[in-house]
Amino acid sequence: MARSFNGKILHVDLTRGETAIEEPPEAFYRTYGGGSAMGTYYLLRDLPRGADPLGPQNILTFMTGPITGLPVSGQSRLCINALSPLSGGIGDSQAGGFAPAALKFAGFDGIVVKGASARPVYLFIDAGKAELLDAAGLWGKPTAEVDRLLEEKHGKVEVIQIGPAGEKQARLAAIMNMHNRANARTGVGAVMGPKQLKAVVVSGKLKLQAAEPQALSRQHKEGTRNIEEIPDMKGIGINGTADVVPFQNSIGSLPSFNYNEGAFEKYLDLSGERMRETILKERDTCYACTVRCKRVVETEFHGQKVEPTYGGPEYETLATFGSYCGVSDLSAVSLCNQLCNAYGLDTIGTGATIAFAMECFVKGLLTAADTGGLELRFGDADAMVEMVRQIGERRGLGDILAEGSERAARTIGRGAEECLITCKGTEAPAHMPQAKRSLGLIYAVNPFGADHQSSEHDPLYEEGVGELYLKRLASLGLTTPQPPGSMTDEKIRYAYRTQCFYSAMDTYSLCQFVFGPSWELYGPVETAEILSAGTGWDVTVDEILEVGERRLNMMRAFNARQGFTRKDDTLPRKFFKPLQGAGPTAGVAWKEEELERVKDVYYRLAGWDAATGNPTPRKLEELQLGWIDR
Amino acid sequence: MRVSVVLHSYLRDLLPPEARGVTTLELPEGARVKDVAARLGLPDHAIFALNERLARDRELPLEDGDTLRFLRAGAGG
Repeated sequence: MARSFNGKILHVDLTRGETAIEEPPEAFYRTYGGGSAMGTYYLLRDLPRGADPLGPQNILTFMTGPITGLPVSGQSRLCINALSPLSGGIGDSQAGGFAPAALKFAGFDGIVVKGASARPVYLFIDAGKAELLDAAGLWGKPTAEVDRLLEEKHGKVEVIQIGPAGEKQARLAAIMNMHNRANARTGVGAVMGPKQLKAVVVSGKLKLQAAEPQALSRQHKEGTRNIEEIPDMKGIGINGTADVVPFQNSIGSLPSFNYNEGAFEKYLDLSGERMRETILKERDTCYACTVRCKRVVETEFHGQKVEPTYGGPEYETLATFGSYCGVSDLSAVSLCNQLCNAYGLDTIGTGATIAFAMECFVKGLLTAADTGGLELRFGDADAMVEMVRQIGERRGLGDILAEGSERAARTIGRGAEECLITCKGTEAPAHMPQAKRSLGLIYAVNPFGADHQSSEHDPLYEEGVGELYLKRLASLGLTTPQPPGSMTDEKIRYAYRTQCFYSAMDTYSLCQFVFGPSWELYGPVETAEILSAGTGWDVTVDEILEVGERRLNMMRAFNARQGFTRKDDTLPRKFFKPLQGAGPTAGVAWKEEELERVKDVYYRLAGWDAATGNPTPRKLEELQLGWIDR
Repeated sequence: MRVSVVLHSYLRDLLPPEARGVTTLELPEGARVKDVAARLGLPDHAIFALNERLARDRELPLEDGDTLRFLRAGAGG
């Protein structure tokens, strides 16, 4: 009987050139949910201690969720995990598109890749069968070209691939699908390079079946109607994620000049509205999603064309290549977005690393001798574009920056670490913990580094935010909105509870714009109903929170094994210095003692050891994780 | 006094399309943010930034030359 998932995980041993199919019991799916927790499960179980992230021992997992591929918005998400080449801890990244659903239609819920091939290969999966094929003709080519060649050979397929940056083991490398959707963060793209795995190509039309199709259909229709009723969904639909630019600037949360300032004078030039009025060609979507938040742009910058096929910049990309670098030219930012998608690079990591290099240059820590004569100054869009090319091709200074800013700082020396904005080796995204205080805690404690999609942000738990949002938060036991700018114990509880919810979304592989604790298309109660309608399980909000908590504990246990302790839960030194400029957060800084205080409260809530920040044996037992070899 | 008003995001629909979300209002002395919100029909959940800083109290008085932006609360990105 068809179900909402296949009950099959594909195992690939690249060293031996073999594949095998595992059929885990349904209880495995219910316990680990899918996505990130399932990927972390295989890493915890099988990764040898002391493995090199860029060596054959690293394990790379591609996981979907239990309702991926069903006809409801926000379900087509792919989670990729590995030992992170950036942090040495757990690596985790999420992306949407059509490939996640296509993998399910091809007969598998996930893929576990081990070993390394002696020659470039790609994994071809068609209707439940898998084989490794020669990728010599694809190696070195940009992502859109690879997609074209593979479609010429196989017909309509979905391609999950690395670009030239991943081939060259750039730690900023992403794994792309549709050549405009990126599993970008934590360096997962660099893991595929040394494995010589160029791509995973999926094809198939196997049927998935919701347990209660009518209930699912009703929710889907209701959700589509809700787009007009929920302010944030309406805004994201019209202007994409860039809709948030004016708000971010108004609260001093738009990182500018490598996070030295929290507001950018020319912020309107980077806004979703400006994009819509000027270079937007169309809106795009993921499989079966009616929100249509993706942007497609067409423009040119100094004679270099920006093609619609590479999509368009998200808010994060507009910030990292825009305000981080002091650049207000939307076309230049869009070109950098295209180059990152073509080379297969993380736009957050790459833009932020270039901003780091710009600050080093301005401070004289890098000179023209280091940059090959390039005047790498804030506001210089041409220099920024050139630096993306150098990173993608690993030449010149780009060869050093391709390693990510933390390693680059060590290479540069001369005190360059003062210019860093990294947590656990990951460059901070474009929501500032100086303005959104709870993100200071989450950036510090998150198992895979600074991440803006791992908890609900502070402004959603304030009076006046709207009845619907507060009602939804109340379903998570959060009933006392907090004053703006506060870092109270209740705010910490909010951060932790919503972190568990977000963690569950990355486990069930659900889009966090569609499913979430407050402003999203579906709140916690509807999320439970949709998961139930899809799987036939009687999922409750409490079970969702427990699944999310389990994932966090698995990741922390993984990191503990890698030697992580409380001291790794910290913020970059820059965040403890007052912000500059004239924006609303000028003069604001985190205090080290404050961070330690909120960590104490957080560890207590999580049930972790206060001295190490790691899960206790009792906590692991409580979450059915007693099997983890610590 | 004259106050520049900018409507962002979906709030732009409250003005004619050709305005692109921008208008200038002539207001009596002592006018407050709530008066602008009422005149343009802004929903209660719309937040605002006065002279590029987020503020929360619609009782705030306005001054000649102010720029008042109405926004959606920030989430997503």
